[in-house]
Amino acid sequence: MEQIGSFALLLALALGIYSVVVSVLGARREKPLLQESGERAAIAVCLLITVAVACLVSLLLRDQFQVAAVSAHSNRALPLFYKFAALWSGQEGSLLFWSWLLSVYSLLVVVIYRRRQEASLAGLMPYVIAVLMATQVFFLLLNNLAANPFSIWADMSAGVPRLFLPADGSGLNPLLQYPLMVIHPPILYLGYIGFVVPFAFGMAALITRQKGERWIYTTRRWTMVSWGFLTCGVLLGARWAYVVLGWGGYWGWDPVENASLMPWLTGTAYLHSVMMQEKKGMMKVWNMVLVMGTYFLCIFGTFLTRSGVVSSVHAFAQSPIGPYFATYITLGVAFSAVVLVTRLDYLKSENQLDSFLSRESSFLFNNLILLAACFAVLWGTLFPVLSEAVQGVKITVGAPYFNKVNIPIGLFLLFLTGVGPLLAWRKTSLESLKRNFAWPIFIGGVATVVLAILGVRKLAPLVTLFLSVFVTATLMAEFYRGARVIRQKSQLGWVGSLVHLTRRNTRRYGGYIIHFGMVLIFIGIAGSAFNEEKQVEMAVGSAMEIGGFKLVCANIEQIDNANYAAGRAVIELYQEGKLVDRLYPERRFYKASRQTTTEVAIRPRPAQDLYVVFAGMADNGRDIVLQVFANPLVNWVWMGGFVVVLGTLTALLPNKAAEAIRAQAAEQARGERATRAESKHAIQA
Amino acid sequence: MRSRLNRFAPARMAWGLALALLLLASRATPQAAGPARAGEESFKRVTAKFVCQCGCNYPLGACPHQDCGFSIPMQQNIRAALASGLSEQQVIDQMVSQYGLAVLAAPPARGFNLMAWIMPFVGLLAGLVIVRSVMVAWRRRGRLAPSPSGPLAEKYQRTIDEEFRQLGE
Repeated sequence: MEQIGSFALLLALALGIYSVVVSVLGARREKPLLQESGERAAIAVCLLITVAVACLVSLLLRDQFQVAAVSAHSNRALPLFYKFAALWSGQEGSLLFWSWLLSVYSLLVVVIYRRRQEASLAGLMPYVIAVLMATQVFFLLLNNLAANPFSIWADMSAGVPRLFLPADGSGLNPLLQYPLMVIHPPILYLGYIGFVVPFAFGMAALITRQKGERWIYTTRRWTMVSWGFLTCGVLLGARWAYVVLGWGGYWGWDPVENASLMPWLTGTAYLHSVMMQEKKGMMKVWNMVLVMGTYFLCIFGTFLTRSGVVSSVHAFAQSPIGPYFATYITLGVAFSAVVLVTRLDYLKSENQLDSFLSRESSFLFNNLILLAACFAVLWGTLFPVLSEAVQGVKITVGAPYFNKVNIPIGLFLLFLTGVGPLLAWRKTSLESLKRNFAWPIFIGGVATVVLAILGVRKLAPLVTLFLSVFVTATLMAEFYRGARVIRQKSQLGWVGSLVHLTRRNTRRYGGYIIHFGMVLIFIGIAGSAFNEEKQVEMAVGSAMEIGGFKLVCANIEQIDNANYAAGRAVIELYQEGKLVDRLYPERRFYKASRQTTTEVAIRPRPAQDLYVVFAGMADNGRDIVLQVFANPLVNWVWMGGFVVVLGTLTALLPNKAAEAIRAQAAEQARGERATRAESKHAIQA
Repeated sequence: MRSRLNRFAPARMAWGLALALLLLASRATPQAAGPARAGEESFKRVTAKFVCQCGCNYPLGACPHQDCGFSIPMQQNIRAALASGLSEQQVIDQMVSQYGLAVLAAPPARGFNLMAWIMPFVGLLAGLVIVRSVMVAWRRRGRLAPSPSGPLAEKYQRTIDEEFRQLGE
């Protein structure tokens, strides 16, 4: 099986290179057959990588420990569910998985657009395929040369290599044995890799000097889908950190977390600024820079996670793939920059501003703030490397730095989230601004004063809550105003009017829903300023209090199965003297990997999570050490994530208005065709 | 007149509220820690200054490795140092001299490390300057852009005038 997988990867590499070459040649010499051959090679690459993935999954499921990637990340006692997830838990398997997802994206692009006869797309496609396949070739080079997932163990004791078959594997990292880890990496990868598609179209448009915004319209959904996956991936990663790592938080500003945040920030900036190009033909160069930046930050994130440049709980083991990535990123950035600079004349746009107080200005500020946040994160992430190179002293840039730098930037961004929708395109009068702002500011102010009276005295959470209420009020006002007009014109009720309104412009109102989701996330983050934490030693029958609860240690149990042995505390939760719940925090010892982990027990509620960690045994050997957190509002982060996903899905729905225009255009085209046919018939007659 | 008053009342009230809020915030003082929690609070404040060096890159008290060979002994050292009567700053200095500068969760704002703190804001400031100059240039171009003229523009203008006239009637 491993030979089949290896051969499939080698053949895929050869076909990938072939696809790049014939696609470019086909485009330059205008040979449709060569172009088609390039497309077919891309399809074949996908099939071959699928064979390789199927081989590795089969090896994992059948415990074929002679394969290094299998023995390093699986073992016989590992549940089937996690054996499958072991595919992307190691360096080699995850890079193969990366390659496979990219090949699936490429396949979709080929299948969707190859039959389209539009001249603008037909001209772009060979270069789109070439860019997609160039990225694919890079990852296939890694799969074949630097991190082959089908490497087998060899016993060299006799002087000649002999096949070595370990009795069992080392097992999957216990921190990864959690259901969310089965979906978190694929979703994050779908986000990272998805941005290759808009990049490929953008580069193709640049190379061919294509006029107009066709590539932007074509890739809008690809960008939205990728952004949606990336958002989900980042939030699932945060959720995993919260539930598995046992430190009571969900975002530690770890370099790998930062690596996923950076393309998200530039991708978000791109989603906003691209509207300027669509509506007004502005910011063409900037959008190219953003789409390139997002692509390279996605590759850079993969590099950071795997190269060993920075240390992280999420990082893979150090490996020799760093130089490959560094070379690819350097060459890629240089090539993209040259293509961009040599085509600046074609990107000339009608940049003009009618008023400083306009939607256009708000988009400029939005981009500035998102890019400033991205720069702050990148700077903080790479500063230790820079410091070591310049001073020769290793330093750390951790959470206190990122919080101090990013909180003001984040709050300004939240403010713009509320202001942006209130500004009209071209020009907003001061009068209308006052009219639109007054009530949201008033409601926000009332909410904040109430909170301050209730005892919230920290400035950052107060400002966050004020802005959150302000933004929510502006968004609700937008929905209310639109729905009211529809309600007056039709016989629909409020809900029907809201649905109708949203369907008329799914992108706009989907965007507002996403903004509301972000508000919820900000509220959740603000809640962390009021976290409580206690670490106590508890004997059976003893009690402690936190967050309005009394926790009683009712029992300590022992668990043993093939995969792990565990100690489990039974914690009874009392509120106002009544037993309200039981929590079961565990401390596990995984037998194969010989690692200890904790299984956090969480009582999730919208107002406050009670988060209990079995931290260990006390010095006397009988009592347990419990670390308990009361985390207010943390669930709002996850609720916000759901709302963001809902908004993204809404924005992806076809517009009613656009559908009507398309139907009208199709009807008109049919009419014109019929007229032409009639004329032709008449002439012939 | 009445509707005009209603329209602007919230704006004035919002300013009043913002002022009240500022006063409240300026009077905000941290809650005094009870004597029983003083040691623990001090320990938390000190550990928050450090980052685990086991490779996880997490704050010292948040290392996800349950038997961490770095965070557990260092936390014990911090507790012992605080119990011996050293001030928080003295404990921090002692730990830095013992484990090196890398153990600090954020670089000290001096010398070359000051760059870490100021560069994001320098970047933001530079961005603001660029955005401002871009906006000014675009605004100038917007002013200089020729207004639409010619027979087509006149035709549209006539249509608009006609529609406004009809609306007025």
